[in-house]
Amino acid sequence: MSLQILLNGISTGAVYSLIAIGFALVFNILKFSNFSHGATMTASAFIAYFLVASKGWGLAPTLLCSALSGAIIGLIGEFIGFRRILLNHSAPTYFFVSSITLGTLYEGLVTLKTGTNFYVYPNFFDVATVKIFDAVVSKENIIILAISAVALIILAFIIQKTSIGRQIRAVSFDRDTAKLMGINSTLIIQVVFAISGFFGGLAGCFLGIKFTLTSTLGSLVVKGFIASVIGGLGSLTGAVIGAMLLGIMEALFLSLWGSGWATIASFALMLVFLLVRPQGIAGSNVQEKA
Amino acid sequence: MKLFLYVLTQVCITLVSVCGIYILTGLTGMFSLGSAAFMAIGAYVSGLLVLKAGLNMYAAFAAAIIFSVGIGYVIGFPIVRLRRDYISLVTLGFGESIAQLILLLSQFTGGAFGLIGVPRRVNVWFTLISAVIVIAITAFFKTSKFGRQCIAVKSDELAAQAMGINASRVKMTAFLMSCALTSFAGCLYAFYVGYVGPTDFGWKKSADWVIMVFFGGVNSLTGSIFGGAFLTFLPQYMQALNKYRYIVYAVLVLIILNFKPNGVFGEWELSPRNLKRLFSPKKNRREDV
Amino acid sequence: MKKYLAMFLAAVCLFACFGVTAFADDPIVIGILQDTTGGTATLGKSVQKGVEDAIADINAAGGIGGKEVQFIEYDTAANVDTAIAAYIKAVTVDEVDFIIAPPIANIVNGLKAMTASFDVPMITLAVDPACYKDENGNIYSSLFCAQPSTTVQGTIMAEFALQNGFKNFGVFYTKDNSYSVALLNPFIDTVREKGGALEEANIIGYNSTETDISTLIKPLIDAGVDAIYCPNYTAPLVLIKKTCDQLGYTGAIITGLDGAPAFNTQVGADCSNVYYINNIDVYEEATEKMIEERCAEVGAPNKYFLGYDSMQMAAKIMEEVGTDAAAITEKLSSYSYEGMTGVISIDPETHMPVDGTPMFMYKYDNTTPVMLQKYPAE
Repeated sequence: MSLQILLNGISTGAVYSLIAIGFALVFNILKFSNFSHGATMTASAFIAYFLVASKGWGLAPTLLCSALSGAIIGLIGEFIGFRRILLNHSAPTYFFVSSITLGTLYEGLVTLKTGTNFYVYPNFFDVATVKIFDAVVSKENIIILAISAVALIILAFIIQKTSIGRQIRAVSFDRDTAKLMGINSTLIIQVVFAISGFFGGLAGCFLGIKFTLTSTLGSLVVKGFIASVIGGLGSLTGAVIGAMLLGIMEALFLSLWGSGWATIASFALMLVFLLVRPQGIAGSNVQEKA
Repeated sequence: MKLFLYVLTQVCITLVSVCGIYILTGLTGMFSLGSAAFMAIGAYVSGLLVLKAGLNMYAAFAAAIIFSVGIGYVIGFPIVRLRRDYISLVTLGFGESIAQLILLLSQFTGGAFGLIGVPRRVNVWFTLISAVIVIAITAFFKTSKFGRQCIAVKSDELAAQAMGINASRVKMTAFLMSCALTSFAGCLYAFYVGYVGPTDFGWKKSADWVIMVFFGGVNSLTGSIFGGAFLTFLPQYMQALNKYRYIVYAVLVLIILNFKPNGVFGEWELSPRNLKRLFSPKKNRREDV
Repeated sequence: MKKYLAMFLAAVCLFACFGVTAFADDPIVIGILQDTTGGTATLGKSVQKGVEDAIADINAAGGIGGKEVQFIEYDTAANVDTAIAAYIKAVTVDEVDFIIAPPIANIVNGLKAMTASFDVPMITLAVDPACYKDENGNIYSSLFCAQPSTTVQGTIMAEFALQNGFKNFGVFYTKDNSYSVALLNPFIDTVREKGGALEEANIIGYNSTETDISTLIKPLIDAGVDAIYCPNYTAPLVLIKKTCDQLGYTGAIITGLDGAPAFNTQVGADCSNVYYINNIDVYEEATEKMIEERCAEVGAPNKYFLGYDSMQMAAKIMEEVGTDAAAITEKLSSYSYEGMTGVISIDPETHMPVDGTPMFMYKYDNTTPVMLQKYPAE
């Protein structure tokens, strides 16, 4: 494996890890796969495009706008999609269906606004590239990697060291007991959705920069799912490791077997993980009732 | 009239697969986002067998269904041993892989062009009869011992196992039945439309079916069938609303999930007894559920 | 009794008169069946706008044979099932006289079997010759194409590239896009036939869902090719162009119809190494004027003109033979029409334009399109 492929893999993995984190956060707390996450990414990337980037305000405001829109969409989603189901104590399967529906709704709304035209973020960087030994890396990938790393470190700090982080961990461990201990679990769930949306917004914006903005951008959320399965559903560290691993593996498969087989190979990789180590790399903290 | 017949055919084909989803999701509580891939397998295999191998259509149907059940067994092997969340992920990945495989095997499948020139030998009556038979079989299954085992597994796997139900076997059987039904729908589709496109069987289609089942009522076969028929009929007659189609879908389902989580029909099933009760004076009516 | 009979007869007469006058004023109805939602909506909407503008122009000029032209829009949603349902609705419920269908091969392939049972003439813009034939190679009688086939276009691009001194080629195409795949072999065959170098290893197909283009395209650049042929849609093209720039590729990129503007603004950088083919000469006076006046909102101007021409051609024929479906198809199968995209002469053997319908090769000077050559050369 050449250095170039490794670097390509890492830069893809960086975005995957943002997706996987947003996904894992919600899974952690409500124990379901949030399929609306992809459409949240798309919607926030588009909002940032229309409100900020198309006016030529540069990268930082665009990123911020996208992330904040993501957070807001996350909150709205929690309210219209999941709140009542949670209060009704309906089966977790309803969360799942609700998330698919929410995703459809967001995607429909984006399509209504944009049609299927695709949009391209203005070039935030000159196409200048950096040479590392004999490999070429574009500046945008380096910056994406750096920002992702910083965002993830801040998140880790929040989860591990702050009061709100402890509450999140408590609620994800056992919602009812946490409630009895005086934690406002509804508020915590809202916070988690907002953070998840925030990361979704970041990921969406990065995807828009790396690729093009289309209303189906969100389908890349699948990569986040696979990554968090490899890492261990619900584990945040695992999600990042899984995403990096997936990015590198994909780059490797692509260079070896070309497009198409690479997708099948990463699916096979996921299957192997599920069979051999269903708890994922990190070993998840999801408790099985059975 | 022709349009009605065409849409009716589409509804019937959808209902065949919705029955498959009902057995999987409604009875057994497993979510598959790769069911559409089995429809693709059914359509491609049966179409290719007739086109390239010159097989009789019915033999091709049987072969295609057996083939997808075989594939379903391979995929189902890990599925039934996993947490339910993983099932949707595995089937999703499987669906994407099948889509890639169809493109990779372009010398057989026609790749991006799709499979062209499948003889159009299935007509509306054929699909109608098929749908009725499939619905009857599904209804029979629901009330059979097997169906009750499925429901037990769905409600509480651990308790079901404690009662001596072999949960993974029940789940596997349900999964294979659903594979068989969706691939049969694929066969019908291929021989009715005469063309099979590679991009028509993504996870969105599987998700649509799941939504249909939930719309009508995940615990009620009547509800699932109503959901399937209603949500297939609606967009074809609302051409002008096509733009809003998915938004309307989503809003309807969200409302139902929020305010009537058991779907339009709840647990209600169409049967002579229930009909009688429905139309009898109010005082005689007992609360369902 | 006589009184009633008289009244009845009068009523019948009156009804008949109205019926006849209603018949005389019966407008001609065109079905515009396009992908206006779904993945290819940009193309569909452009065609639709072209057809609508043509209809407005025709009506402003007095309609077809004095009859007003109306249109009904149908959306295929880029989905074969929906397209078929819409088609059936158009021909049975709305009884349209003519259909303009989308520039998407998959949709036309799904529809074509249906057209045999209804005989309503239909012009599509799908460029794959297989769209117009059944499995035995027989032509579908009421199905026509108004733009040069992929064979013609691919050959032109290959000839052009060789004439401009490119020798060592690479190909980067989209496996899941029928337009891309259909343009593949004509180009490859022509290049090899005329002495260009194109190694099997340098033909790379990929899926539009792929996230890591860079890894895929690197081998081509490392192989030192001086032109990469990319017959892809615009969105992937922008990505390919950006990736090539990042990887330091300095050779040419030859694209199909989708390299035309707005590709340049979407890349937002120097596009001087990009060559593309187009149906229209954007610097030709009438065309330029029309683009300026009408195409501000149009995503794909060439599709606008193809839609416009298809409609005008259909109107010309109906002017001559009326709205009888059989007469129209009969006439259309060997018709020659000079429109904005040049002379479209339908070949009765293929139901597509004969070789010689003009195509134009362009490149960009920084981001400004420059027309380099017209095919066939005059």
